[in-house]
Amino acid sequence: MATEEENIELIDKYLRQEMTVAERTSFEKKLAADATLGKQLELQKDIAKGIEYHSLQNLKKSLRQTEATIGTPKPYKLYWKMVASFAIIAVVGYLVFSLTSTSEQEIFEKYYDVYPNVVNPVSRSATDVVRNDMRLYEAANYEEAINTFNQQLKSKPGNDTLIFYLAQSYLALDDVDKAITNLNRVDSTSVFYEPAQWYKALALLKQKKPEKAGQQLDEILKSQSSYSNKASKVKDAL
Amino acid sequence: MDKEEKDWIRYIKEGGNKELSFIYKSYREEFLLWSTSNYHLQEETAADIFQDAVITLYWNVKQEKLTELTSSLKTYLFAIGKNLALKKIKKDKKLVIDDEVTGLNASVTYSEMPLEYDQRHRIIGECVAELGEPCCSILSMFYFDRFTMDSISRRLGHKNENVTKTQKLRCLQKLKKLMQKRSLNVDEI
Repeated sequence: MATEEENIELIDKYLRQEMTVAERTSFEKKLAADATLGKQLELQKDIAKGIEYHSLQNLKKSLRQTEATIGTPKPYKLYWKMVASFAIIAVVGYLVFSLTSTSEQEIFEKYYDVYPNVVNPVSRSATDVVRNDMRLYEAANYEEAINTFNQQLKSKPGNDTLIFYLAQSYLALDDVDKAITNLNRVDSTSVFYEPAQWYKALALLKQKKPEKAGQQLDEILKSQSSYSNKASKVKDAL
Repeated sequence: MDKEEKDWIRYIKEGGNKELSFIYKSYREEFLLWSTSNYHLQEETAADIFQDAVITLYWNVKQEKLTELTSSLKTYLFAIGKNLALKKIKKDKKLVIDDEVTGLNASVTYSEMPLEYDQRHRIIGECVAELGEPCCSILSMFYFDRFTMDSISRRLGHKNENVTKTQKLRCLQKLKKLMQKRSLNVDEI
């Protein structure tokens, strides 16, 4: 009897229309005889539809952000922008005045964790080859990891994975300036964009720049990133 | 149509948000000028409609409903934009517009992007967002962008496809748990 994983693989192939005619006929026969497989197919269709909904929402969000950067400001918008700017200045002034360096450091320590190695986890089957740079990173040997990342970036200058983990390594070594420089280099289309934005907010806290950290957290909240919950908590703490 | 325009289908098929943003910026101003003067739309409404037109183009390419452009990219986009604008105006019952007035290419065919999703699918979408990275991207790349496992594996810098496959399965399990938490039945439908 096929495992759930095997069934999922078959269903995906069926839904993506990647089966040969023979495979399709055989699958449809199985489907008619196996009610569980039928239920799994319906579930998988629902999941695909939910992912489609999520992806379309994300595209819309991304184009709205593009529009926000190029849209023509209207007079009434300018007025509200001025009001908002004064309000921000007032809030920022209050934050600068009221926050002590200890509280920023405390917040940073509460929320900061080294980003896990999601690229090539070391704890896998012994037959897989582990990337040396990620092995160093996972072993917290950040100096060596930085050397390896920088070396690779010479031949792959825009590689977002290398840039992101380079930034993480700098942050782990408290080299916050270099961490922020590299986090800024993670493109908005990268899968690491959302975590990069979050770590930038934390890095700004580490630099004792609460006003900039606040602005960065606002950006995260506005973009409805998967770090929104955490960003909201840090904002409250600030 | 020049060669570069033809290549857009491939760029969109293989790419992501970056291409979409580029297309949006390239034709936005012209569309806004055209739609605000022809249909008297507010600039914000026109921009919103054009965003939907660009996403519709993207969706048609990803769903393999559009495999080759028979007109220029601009004509295709403007035809979608025009239809969306007319729908919006009809819905708001603001104006009665003669379809022929604008003289745009009406022969462009495309599939409408689904705008309405039922509650179950919207909740699943919210659970996907809750998954965070890299699950969100892996599932999106596989089920929405329809990239191959090999392509996803390369994009994520994985050593081989098996790593990606395993991660995708784990992400699906995680997603099902979140769905259960939201009281969605994942055993029987």
